[in-house]
Amino acid sequence: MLSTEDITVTLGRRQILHGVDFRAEAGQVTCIVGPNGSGKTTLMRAITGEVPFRGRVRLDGDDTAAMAPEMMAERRAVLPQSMPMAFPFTVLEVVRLGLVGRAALSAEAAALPHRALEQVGLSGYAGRLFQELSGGEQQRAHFARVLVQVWRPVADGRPRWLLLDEPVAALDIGHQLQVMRIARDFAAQGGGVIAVMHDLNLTAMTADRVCLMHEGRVLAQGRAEMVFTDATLGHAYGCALRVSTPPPDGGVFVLPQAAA
Amino acid sequence: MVSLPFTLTQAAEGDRSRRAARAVVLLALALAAVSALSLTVGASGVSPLAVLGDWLTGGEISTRDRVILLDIRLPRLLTGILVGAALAVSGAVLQGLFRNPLADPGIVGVSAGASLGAVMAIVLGGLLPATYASWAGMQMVPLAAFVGSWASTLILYRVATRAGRTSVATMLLAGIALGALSGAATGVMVYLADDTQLRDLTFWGMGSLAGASWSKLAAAAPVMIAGLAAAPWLARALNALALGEAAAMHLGIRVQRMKSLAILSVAASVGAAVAISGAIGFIGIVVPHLLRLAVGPDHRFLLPMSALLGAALLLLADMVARVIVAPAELPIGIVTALAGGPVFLWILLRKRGLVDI
Repeated sequence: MLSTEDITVTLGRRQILHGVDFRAEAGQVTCIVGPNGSGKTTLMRAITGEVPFRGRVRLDGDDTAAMAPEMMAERRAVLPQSMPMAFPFTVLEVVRLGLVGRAALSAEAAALPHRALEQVGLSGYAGRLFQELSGGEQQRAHFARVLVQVWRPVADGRPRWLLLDEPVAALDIGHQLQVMRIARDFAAQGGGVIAVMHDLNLTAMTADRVCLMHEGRVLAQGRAEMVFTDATLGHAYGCALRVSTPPPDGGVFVLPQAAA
Repeated sequence: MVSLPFTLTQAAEGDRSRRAARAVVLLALALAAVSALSLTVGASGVSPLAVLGDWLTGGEISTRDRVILLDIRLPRLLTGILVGAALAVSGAVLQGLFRNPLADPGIVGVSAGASLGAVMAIVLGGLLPATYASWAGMQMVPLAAFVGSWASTLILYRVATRAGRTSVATMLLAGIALGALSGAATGVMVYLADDTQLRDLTFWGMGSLAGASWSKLAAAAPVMIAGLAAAPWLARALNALALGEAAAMHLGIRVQRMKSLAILSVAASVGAAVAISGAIGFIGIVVPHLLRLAVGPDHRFLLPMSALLGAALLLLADMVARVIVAPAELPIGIVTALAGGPVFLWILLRKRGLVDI
């Protein structure tokens, strides 16, 4: 389980997060949603240790503040929003950066980058220069790198975690589904996935658990059917939204309503 | 067709490590060749081969030949190798640290700080009584240059660092300001200098290996070697840093510790190099750039290759400096600036997309 206890983040004089208690289970995909400026990404950055915070983040019982960077790197991989890459590395060289710790020395390590590139639909791109890829291709190459870093969803009896900050932001719909399917597979094999998302329908399709943020606080968290209601979403996003259930599999579906 | 076993281990597409490993061997051979050539070039016509032949056949070796080879050319050769390696590796490390191919000890004010230290030692040392003045000239200049580069790197770090994080943009801009300040202070020192000192300063300011001696090398070499020895610990971290500081941290890199080590390494290498040979420009920016074009930016190969190519190019520049106006010689800084300046501009033009290569 990955949990935060009473996380408060203040950047400059502005308080971004006000005592957030967040929880995600291994074996599940947990999505963090909310309007712009609601604190989703800041919560993710507190979890990954990128911003200073008050409170506590626990990764399967361990306080992340007390964990060595090398150990953290073996137990969780982070996909940030966007990263301009310095210097002309090839795609393969970028993906290989994900080989950390003992995994890098194992016999299986050599094959991992190519397998990951294949998973994200970039086989044949290994020799291309990373800087020359499109934004969406770069995002998928980084996703491959992150998959290499936590290539075993469970190792030494502990779940590995994928922390994804808007993993589908730059992707077309086909690749959005592909990335979320990989995330689901990772969770199905026992790993934990936390993703910051914008698309409520993609979230409803993918997430076992949803955390809805609003003005630096958790407005609601739980199963999508419980969090996604007309009233809650309308309050969070400040616009009229209609939640309904389409016939095939009974998942929820959010439809924006034109302003009256 | 018979399939050969080595095709099984052929490099995967996008994997340049084999090419880089071959390049390391080639560069090592090239450096050995240039070193041998460097021993034969000089104002006097002494041939090391003839001397070696005489020595092996038990013939007489004149004192003059022995002095020229062992006390003039050999320390000069070793100084050139170390200074070239130190400047090129420092450039590559700084560029990796700043994630910018234009970062260079000369640009962030590290060399300027070292120069100021050395110039202060020369001018203020002249105010001391004569017996101390010569001692100051021998011992204080390298020490002062090292203190200067270390102090400017430290100030740079303090200015550009907030809450344990370094801003690359602030660091580059602060470097420009520090360089200007050091330059102004150096100007004041030059204004205060007497005529003899002025000649020293001019020659030293343009950079030269002419003053190389065993005693200077003994003082500077350990510092440069210590700076270079940090490189293997930095390589993987600098690769990860190309993704950004946050991503490097997520890959398990202790980013702040790594940055401190990189800065110390650069200060030691550049301080000692400037002390022994003056300000020699452009090696730190041209060498890593050429190597990135040839075999890619992986620092595990870039750093050792920079050391080899930096050493070889500096020896070549030194040979040009020695023969082009023989029996006199040009300051080597002029040679590296003439060759490196256009390359620097070419890099800038490529960055701006004005030249299509």
